[in-house]
Order: sequence, then C-alpha cells, then structure tokens
Amino acid sequence: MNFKIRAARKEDCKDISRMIMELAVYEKMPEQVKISNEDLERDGFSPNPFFECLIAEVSDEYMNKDGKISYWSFMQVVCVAVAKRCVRLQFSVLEWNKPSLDFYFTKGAEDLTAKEGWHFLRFHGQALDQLAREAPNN
Amino acid sequence: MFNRWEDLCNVISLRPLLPAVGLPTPVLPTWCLILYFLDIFHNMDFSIRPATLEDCKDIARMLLELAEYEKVLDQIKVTQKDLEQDGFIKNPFFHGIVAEVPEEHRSKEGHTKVGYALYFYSYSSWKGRAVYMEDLYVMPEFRGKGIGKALMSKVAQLGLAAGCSLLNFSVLDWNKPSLDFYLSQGCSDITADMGYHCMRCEGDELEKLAQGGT
Repeated sequence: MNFKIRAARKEDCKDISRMIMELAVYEKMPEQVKISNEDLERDGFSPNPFFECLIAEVSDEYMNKDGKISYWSFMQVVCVAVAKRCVRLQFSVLEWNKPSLDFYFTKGAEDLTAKEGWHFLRFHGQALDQLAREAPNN
Repeated sequence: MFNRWEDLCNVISLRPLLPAVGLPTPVLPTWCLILYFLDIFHNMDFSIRPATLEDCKDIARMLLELAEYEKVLDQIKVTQKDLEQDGFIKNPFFHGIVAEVPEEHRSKEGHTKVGYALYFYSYSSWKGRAVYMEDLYVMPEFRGKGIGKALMSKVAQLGLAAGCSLLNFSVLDWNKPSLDFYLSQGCSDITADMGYHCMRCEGDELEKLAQGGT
C-alpha cells in the first residue's frame, strides 16, 4: 500500500478532529472529547504552537485502516524526537488496550506504571480553578 | 522585612532592664511564647518568582536532591548547562519558578533558593491546551510552610492564564506523603481512575526505532 507521512497542515484539522473522535470511541470515552477543529487550528498552527502533528495519507484506492500505517506514523514521531535531540519519547496507553500495549512493547517501550509505580495525576475543572486562586500574588 | 524572631529576642533581652528604668515588665505568658514560636515557623516569608539563567545552578542542585528522594539518582543525566540551554532559548523546552527565602532564613548550607517547579505546555487531543508539571520540590527543612502549595498554585495560575484546562503531573505510587497532599488538594489519579499507564522509549531503543523509520 502506498502511503506517506508528512507534517500536518491547517487544512488537515478537520480530518485530525474526525480521527481524534474515532480514537476516543475506541478508548470508550467519546464524551470526554471537548475540542473542535477551530481549537486545533488555533493551537497547532500559530507562531508558538502547543503541538506538532504528523499525518499518514494514503492514495484514493486505499480507504481502509491498516495497522502498517499506525506503525510507520509511530516511527516518524520517533524520528522527529531524535532529530530534536530528545532522549525520551513518553506517551500513555490504557491498561486494557492489549493490541496497542503489545505493539509498543515489541518496539522497546517500557511500562513505567507497572515497572516503577508512576501514576498520572491531574487537576482540572473546579479543582484547578481553586488551586490557581490560592497562588501568591507576588 | 519585619523580623519577628529578632523582635522576640529583643523583648526577652530587655525584660531584666525594664524595672531598672521604671517601666513595668511586660507579661508574656508561656502559651503566648509557644504560639509566637509556632507562628514564626509557619509564616516564614518566602517569594515565588520566574526562574532566571542564574537559578540553574540551584535548580540543578535541588533536582538531584529530588532524584535522591525518588531513588532515581543514577538516572539523572541533565546538567546545569543543559538547563541553561534548554530553558532559556527562544522556544524553551521548559519554564521554571523558584521559591526564595530572605537571607536570615537561609538553609543550614546557606541556600536561599529553597524550592522550585519545572513545567511545560503540552496538549490534550480531548481537552486542548494543557500544562505538565515535571518537577515540584521543596527542601526538607522548609516543608510544612506552604511553599509547595504556593509553587503548585502558581503553575496552575500560569497555566490558566495561558488558556490551559488541565494541569498534569506524575507521582510514584509509594510516595504516600506527596500522593496524600495532592489528593487533598482535589486532583484526580488518572492511572487509578481510568487505567492510563505511562509508557516510555529511550536510550538505545529510541535510537534503534529512529533508524528503522522512513
């Protein structure tokens, strides 16, 4: 199958938004998705972007999902990381998502939650607002 | 800055002299003195400010102290020079804030920079702009005085000002004092609640992967 990996452009945000929702459905949490195309356009394509994005694109005759494309997308992110002299690639996976976990393990990833006991914590919503209100004013 | 310890010392040292000059001895009941001492140690003056290039030496020092506490000292590769290069360039990889105490409250070794937080902006494909707090540390002799809370609140405030709706960070599951502190402040444990595991590729594995990419 012919495909290419390239840097995302502003016009890709509609498709990125669609695929974010598809991923959220797979992860059984579609109701958690709050951002829109416009948020992606504003946050990814301004002078100081909050994120960078790579897109995998196939030619018209290959319209179905293919595991090989996921693999090459992941590899390209790794290449970008190494090119920027990063020493780590960190990401998260749901513990029940065995196909993804197995894929990442075969590529040499370590599960730091299982191995070292790291937990992700988060402040959001009212708890975040409350915490920010208590910041010193100096 | 008003120094209450010195004022107390002055009052105590003056007490024997006061009758000699015809002034009544001020009555300081024991319970007042106890509360006075407790208040001094709880309300220690400190300030929180953005980190500067010159702070990298102290941040590097405290980073190693934190790593020792987390039992990962052998994993630390970053140096003061790396912090200077990566935190103070046009598009920095991180931002820092520092907690500083006045000279008279310096640590046993003479340090006035007694805590720090390192953070950077990230992105949630579900919620949008996010801030990730990579490190939060206060030197042991300065804990229990609200400095850690002040540092974390400042990161939250800066994150909200930048349009973030999430403050993310991670904690080791055996680090009960920290976990209890964070949970008491209203955060959620995303690993325990939702089952997210932290994954990492690094070192030789990362290099090998990069060589295998197109």
